[in-house]
Amino acid sequence: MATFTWTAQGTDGATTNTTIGATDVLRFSGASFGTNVTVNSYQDSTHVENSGGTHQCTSTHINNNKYVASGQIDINGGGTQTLNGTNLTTAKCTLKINFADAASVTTSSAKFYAYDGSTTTNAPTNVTFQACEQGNTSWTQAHGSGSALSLTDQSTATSHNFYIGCSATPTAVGEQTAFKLRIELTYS
Amino acid sequence: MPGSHKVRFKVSLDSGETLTEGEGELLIEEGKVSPWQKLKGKLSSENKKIVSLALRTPDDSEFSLLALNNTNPNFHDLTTAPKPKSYNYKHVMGKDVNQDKEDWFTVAEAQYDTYKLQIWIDENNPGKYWVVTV
Repeated sequence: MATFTWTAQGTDGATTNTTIGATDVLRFSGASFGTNVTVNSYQDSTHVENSGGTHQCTSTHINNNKYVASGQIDINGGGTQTLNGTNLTTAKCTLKINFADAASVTTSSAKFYAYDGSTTTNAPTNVTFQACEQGNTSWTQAHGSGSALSLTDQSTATSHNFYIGCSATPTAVGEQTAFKLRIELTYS
Repeated sequence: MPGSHKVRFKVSLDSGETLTEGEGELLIEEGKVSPWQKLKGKLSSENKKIVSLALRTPDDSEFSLLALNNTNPNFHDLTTAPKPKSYNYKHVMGKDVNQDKEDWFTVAEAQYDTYKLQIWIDENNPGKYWVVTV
């Protein structure tokens, strides 16, 4: 059957990747796993955490794609760069989401967004979420399905990869859990 | 093919042919183009047109969009209703980052000038379906 596989890509050029399982979460942190992100500042590190709160990254952490401004990004703490496909390569993106089908299909109308975990049209609660597809030159504030990041249509194949950068900032104090990421697409 | 989607399309063409996904020239074959892509190729190369589209569920129930040549059922509202300009068929899938099972629907679409009429059937539970205009 058709399936999605979410993979968090390692900072070693995606050599060390972590599959995000059904009970795992993507955690945006301060300088290291579990440290707080200051309100209205974007994360300084990105990790995979299991349902028990355990850090799933090995010594190699997940690519940190930090929002700086609409057309600017900080990749893994390397300083501010222009957001484009040269600086943010596929291997440096936070996420690789694979869609696979046994038959060779086209994909269209793919979208990626954050929501409150209950209603897909709602924005995440107390979080500003930014996303970009590899090759984009600006971020999209992807809040709910109505303002999602649009992903490029792909021609016939049995396997389709979507490379996505993610960044988030809390707008209130405390752990923000009404905050889920979602991908949707059409295929035929 | 094991593990494939359960809801299949059935089309009639202006040539009089009736084709069903997973059968005959529209077999579902691993690694090969999907049956809908095969059908689009056939329509293009043989200059044919779809005149009706239906979805079939595993229990052989059929959910039909209004046909271009509709005369049956022979009721006034059905025979005089606006005819679609064209048809489309697709699957829609979504998944949260930490969701166990994909949300997965098969959709048949009748395209009119200013709107589309869609039948959505839940692949995870083909007994559930919706009709929407978009």
